[in-house]
Amino acid sequence: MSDESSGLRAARLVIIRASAFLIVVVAAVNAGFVSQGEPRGLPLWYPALGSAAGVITVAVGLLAPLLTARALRLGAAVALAMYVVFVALFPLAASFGQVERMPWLLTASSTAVAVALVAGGMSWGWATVFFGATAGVCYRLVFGGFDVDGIINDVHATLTASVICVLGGYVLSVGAGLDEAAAERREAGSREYAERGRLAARTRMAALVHDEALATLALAASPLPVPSDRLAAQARHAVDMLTRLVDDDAGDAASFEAALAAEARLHEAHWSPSAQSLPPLPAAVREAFLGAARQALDNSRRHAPGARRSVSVRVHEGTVEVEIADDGRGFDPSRIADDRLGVRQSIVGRMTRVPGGHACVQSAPGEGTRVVLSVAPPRRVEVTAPGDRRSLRRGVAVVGVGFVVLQAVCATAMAIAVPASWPRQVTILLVVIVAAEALRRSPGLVPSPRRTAVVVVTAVLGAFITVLAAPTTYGDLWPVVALAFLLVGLALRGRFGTALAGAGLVAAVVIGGGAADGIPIGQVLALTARPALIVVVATVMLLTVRRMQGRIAAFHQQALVAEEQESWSRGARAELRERTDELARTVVPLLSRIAEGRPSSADERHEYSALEGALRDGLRAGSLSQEPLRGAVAAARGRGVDVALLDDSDQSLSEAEVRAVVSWMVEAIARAERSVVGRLLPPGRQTVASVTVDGRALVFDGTAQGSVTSFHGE
Amino acid sequence: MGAGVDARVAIVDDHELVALAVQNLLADANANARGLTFARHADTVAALVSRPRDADLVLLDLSLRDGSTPAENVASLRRWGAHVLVLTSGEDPFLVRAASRVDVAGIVRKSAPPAALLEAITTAASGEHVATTEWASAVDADPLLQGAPLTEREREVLGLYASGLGAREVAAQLFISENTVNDHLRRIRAVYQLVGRPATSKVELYQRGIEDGFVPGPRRV
Repeated sequence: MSDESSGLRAARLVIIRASAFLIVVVAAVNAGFVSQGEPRGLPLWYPALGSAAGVITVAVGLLAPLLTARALRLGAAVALAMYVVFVALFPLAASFGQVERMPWLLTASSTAVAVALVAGGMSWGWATVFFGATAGVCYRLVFGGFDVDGIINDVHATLTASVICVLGGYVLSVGAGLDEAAAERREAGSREYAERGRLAARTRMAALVHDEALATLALAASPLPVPSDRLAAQARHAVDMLTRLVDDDAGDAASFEAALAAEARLHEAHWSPSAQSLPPLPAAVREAFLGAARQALDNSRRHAPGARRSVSVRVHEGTVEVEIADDGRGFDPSRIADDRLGVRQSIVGRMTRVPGGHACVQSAPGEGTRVVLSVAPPRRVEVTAPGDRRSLRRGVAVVGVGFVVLQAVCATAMAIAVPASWPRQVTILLVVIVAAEALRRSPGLVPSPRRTAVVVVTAVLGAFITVLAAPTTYGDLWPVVALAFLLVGLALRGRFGTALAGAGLVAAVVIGGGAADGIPIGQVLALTARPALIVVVATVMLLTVRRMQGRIAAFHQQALVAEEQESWSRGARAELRERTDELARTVVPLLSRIAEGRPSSADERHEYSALEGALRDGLRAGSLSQEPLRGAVAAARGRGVDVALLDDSDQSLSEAEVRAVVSWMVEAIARAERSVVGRLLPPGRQTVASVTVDGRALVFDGTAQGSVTSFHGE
Repeated sequence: MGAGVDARVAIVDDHELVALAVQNLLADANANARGLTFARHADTVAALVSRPRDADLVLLDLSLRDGSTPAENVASLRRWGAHVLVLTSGEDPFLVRAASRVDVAGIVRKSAPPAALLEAITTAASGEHVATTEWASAVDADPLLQGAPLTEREREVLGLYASGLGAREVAAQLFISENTVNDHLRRIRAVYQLVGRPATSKVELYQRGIEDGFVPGPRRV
């Protein structure tokens, strides 16, 4: 399931299924119609070829969830190829028999357009639309059928295919957009988390190891009298900590639970582990939990001696909860003074210092005490992809213009065929265009209820009047299909239910009119199919896109969380390893020597002091901690000079400026005998650096590198 | 600073060895002559203050591993009734500032020469301010201080002190007496603690300034 492009994949699935759905419905509706033998006179292999294309499309649609992205596109390409061959071979098939007119099914290119979208994207889709329309015109001219019915059918087929192409393209762009957004977030997230992991590791290192190593080295370097065996033990402890640190911080959930269990055991509390496995927790969170739990158990032991205690941990929707409870005499939490350290600071404070952390103490006299510690998962940035609405709008604009032109073609064709009907054709054309314009001009994406009602009433009433006034043939009923496209417009603008209901009403009107005229039901259904189907398919596609956005976003979200956590611990571990490697090279040999417990010589003490200083510089010297200053400082410390490097510049200096300061300081330090304080000054001061050597202060004169000026021109 | 402060000194550090070193330092004849005696060692502030006060000065490790913050530790030691001198092993400026903003006598590096350490303890035990380079540079670089009511001279003293000069050298540099330098440093410390105290409003800060005598009160005309 770790598909990088699951959005695109889901989009293709939606489209191929829409295509399969269209084929199944058209096949069902036309079963009677086709078996009446419209394609009479064609050899058997020809309809078989057409059916095979349909069957493959349906099969790919059904099997899509099991197929790889490649197989899905390949299947779609095969179905598309068969459709193209089917259309292209029509003249050959026709030469075997007699064809009175071109079968209309040839121009029903919507399903082929959908398949083309899956196989090759938007450009393939439009190519298929163009191919179907051209083939329709050519074949009608050659094989007959270039009449009103034929022209109007082709016009609507082309329009339907265009709508499918635009919608399908939108679906694809949503899918691809989701993938892109997720990939971007993931990359940013993992970078950010690795950084945070490194920072946490560094802080931890500074807090624990530096402290440990610094304390040892400072004592070893100092002339203060401490027993050498105790110092050796302390050094061994420091070495042990340093070498164990990386393994320690592998600190996964299991070791956290183990530590918690050990804490419970230590305080003779009953331990119940979590039923679910815990999510990985940052070291700071683990430490807060452990520290607060320890404090809570400590309090419980002090205030409720002899009570039964329990520690339990559980996970609920990513929130980790540790509960420490006892059945002791309890207390009234409101009577605990604000400044009572135990509860307020050591428990509550500790938990609230970690992000998402919370602690709550519940107790009442005689009812025991319950301390609940929890850390909620951090809120995350949502992955959203609104889809390429610009391209959708462009597509809709193209279809809109095409719609007006093609409906004008229909009206003209009908007016030429039945000259007497021209006022009706012109009126209905005007109504259709005005209604479409009204919908287009809707302020907001979702049209107001009034505007929606106007469009639906126009569509249904228009269909009703058309059915009433005109004979029930495909050509005469062109306005019904034109009006149905208005309903597609409604669906596009979010009025899904209304669009479907309107389509149902239009279909009912046509079926009713057909029945009243005594037209066979099969033919009536065929007349209804296009207007109804186009609305249904558009609505279903748009609704699926909506659901898909949510589902894919959720899926990407999960992947994102996993990725972030992984990169957190990766970053932390890399940082720790790097630091421990560095310390192993520098600190561990000296600590090991101290651990031997021999009395140290003056030179050795200077060496310890140099290293202790270097470790301190790691905390405080900032950008001054670089060669050649590091070497010069180490040499000075080796001579017994007390050196402190302080960086207060808040990173306001350029690298070149720092380099100039550094070489200036190197020169000044070379002459030091007792003490040196080198400092980068806070931004906004007259100079950027100062160095005080044996009680004489010098400031850096930034203009000439290495020049030395004292305060007040001394 | 003078001898004979007669102070009991306790230490809170989770390194027992540091405590031992301090104990030895105080057992030294030099320290005895100053009237300093070692009282007790504790791993945490909570453990120290759980008993009645038996120390006048507490040496407090800046970064204790129990997760407590310098501010809360200092606050509870001050309530306990002892002066506080903070010991650091590395000078993380944020921790140093956090400690400086509360009521501490000063901040001293653990690796400072024993004589300097003893001098600092003596000064802090008598309730005096212990100014060190680490303290001065952390305070001097704190953006919080920019809006603080400090005079030009005070800022100058702080800057020089932060550059590593002692009170005597600063005095020589500015042609003022060492006592004046120390007065300046004391006032800087008090102002910094004032600025660092949580004040909910500017008005409150102003009021506190008047109470503490750092801001001249409104005068009746």
